Amino acid sequence: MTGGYQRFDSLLLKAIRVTTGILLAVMFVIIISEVAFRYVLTRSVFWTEELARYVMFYMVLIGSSAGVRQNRHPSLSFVIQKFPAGFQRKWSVLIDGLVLLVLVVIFWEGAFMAVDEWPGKTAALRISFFWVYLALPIGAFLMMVQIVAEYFFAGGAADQNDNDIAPSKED
Amino acid sequence: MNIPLLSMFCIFTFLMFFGMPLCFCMLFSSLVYLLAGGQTPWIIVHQMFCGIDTFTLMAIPFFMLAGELMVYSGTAEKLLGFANVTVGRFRGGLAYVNVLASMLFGGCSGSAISDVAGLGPLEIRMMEKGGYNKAFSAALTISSAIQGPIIPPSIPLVLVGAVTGISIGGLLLGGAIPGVLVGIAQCLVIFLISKRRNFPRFEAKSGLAETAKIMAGAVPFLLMPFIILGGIIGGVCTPTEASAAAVLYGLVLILAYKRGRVDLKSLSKVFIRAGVLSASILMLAGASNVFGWILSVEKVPAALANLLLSITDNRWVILLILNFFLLIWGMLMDSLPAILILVPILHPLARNAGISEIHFGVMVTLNLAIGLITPPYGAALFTGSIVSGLPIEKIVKQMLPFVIASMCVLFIITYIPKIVTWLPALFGLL
Repeated sequence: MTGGYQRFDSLLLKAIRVTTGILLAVMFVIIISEVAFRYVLTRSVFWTEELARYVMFYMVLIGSSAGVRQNRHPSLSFVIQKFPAGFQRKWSVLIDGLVLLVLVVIFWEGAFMAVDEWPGKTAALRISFFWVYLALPIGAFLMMVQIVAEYFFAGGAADQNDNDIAPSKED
Repeated sequence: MNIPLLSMFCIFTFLMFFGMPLCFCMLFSSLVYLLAGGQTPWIIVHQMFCGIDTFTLMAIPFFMLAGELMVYSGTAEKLLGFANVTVGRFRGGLAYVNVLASMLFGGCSGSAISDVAGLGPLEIRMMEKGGYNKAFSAALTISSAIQGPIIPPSIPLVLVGAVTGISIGGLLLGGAIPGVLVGIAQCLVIFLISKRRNFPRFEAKSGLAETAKIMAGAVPFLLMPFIILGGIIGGVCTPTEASAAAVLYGLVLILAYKRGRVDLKSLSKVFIRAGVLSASILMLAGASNVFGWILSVEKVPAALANLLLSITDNRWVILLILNFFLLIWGMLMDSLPAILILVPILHPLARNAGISEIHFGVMVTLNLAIGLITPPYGAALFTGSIVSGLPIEKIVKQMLPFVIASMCVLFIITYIPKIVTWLPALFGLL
């Protein structure tokens, strides 16, 4: 059964990463067409900027969960590295606990804000703010899943590492 | 005594130094502040949203993506070839080539890391083959990468503009001369030590036609900074749109130079990597907006400014204190997080002290860029160590003269603000 969960974990992380890349590409297409509309069709479209901003909001929240799993969030590690390995492991569990606490708050408050703001409509697109703020609970939930998953399937992100920096070959 | 604020600071400082990811560190200490003061934690999600929902901030993922695309398109080889035929023939030629190539690459990407990661392996290999000590080659490669985040386009300068509202066009233009000065200062160091160490000359084998061909081939890559700056300054597009144009230009270069060899898999990896990396930075931007909101509600920046101004109202002394503080901070933290944490606090202070905003922004960035190559925490230094396969201690020893040269430039631009502000003033952006 563990195999099934593991496959699911790996697929989820892949889906998160691909979605992040796609959202970035979508932002790019929106902004380029904004310029194209202005200069080629000589008429500005008023909702592109807002749309791109909200797409970016989703990209940040969703992409952050991959960042959590792959240790991409900036942190200072030079102090903690001086401590013995055993302490470091225990300490990182505590830190993860605090991060989870923050994420629960974001999930909860984000969900409330989304539901609360249901009647409100965005300035240009005229969609409900619910769809915008929904990114908060989604992102927080995905980040929580990634933190917990790392404990069960340690190194699950290793095969999806996108770090291309390799030591130069001696030739 | 303001207990919630005090506990926020203590918790933030403690957790920051003990390895909690900075964005969660800020959010957690803000949460403590809000709960201790009996306020609703709703402020966290609201301010986070406001912090991320900023159009100018969108330039960050685009410039990161553009930098990655430029690396992928083979810019590094072309620019290295160009630098080689220009300055390669002098004594210590390959060392100059290293600096010049990084200067040109700085005009394509806005980050020191992508300079070291993209251009670094080629530079180190080239210098090693040319008979240079490997540790020296790595040290120079890392040091010359300082130019990347200062010469336009620049990711940290855009972030400074997005956080403070200072004109991004003005900041980018303001960085141009100081960036080039850093390169010149490093070349001076090479000139001084090349005689003593008897650096080899590079025998140019290429004829005139070959040279012309290499130079012409590099032209499309050299155009990048002019396209971006031209677009912004000429009022054709906003900085965010210019950053998207940079991505488009990168894609066009890939299509033109890779033709049939564009494989979608690596291209999609470039998008994913830029997306995940910028998501983490923008998440931090959201968190720092929560933090910044609390600080401004508590009037912390104003209090700090008053404190500093009560010690001295001499602008030169204030600049010196700022530099010292930023250099130390930059040694401990990456430049983008440092900007997100410090600039909202320091910007009002600099304004009260009568320091020009663009001068302040460029100064902050140069300080933090120097921090990128210095231990204990230097992201560019770490990347250089991975790329060269050498331990950090070995590289650092060779880096000292270049770091000192860069600090001299920092000192010069701090006390002669005209060097920074002249170009923006020329285009009416001051």
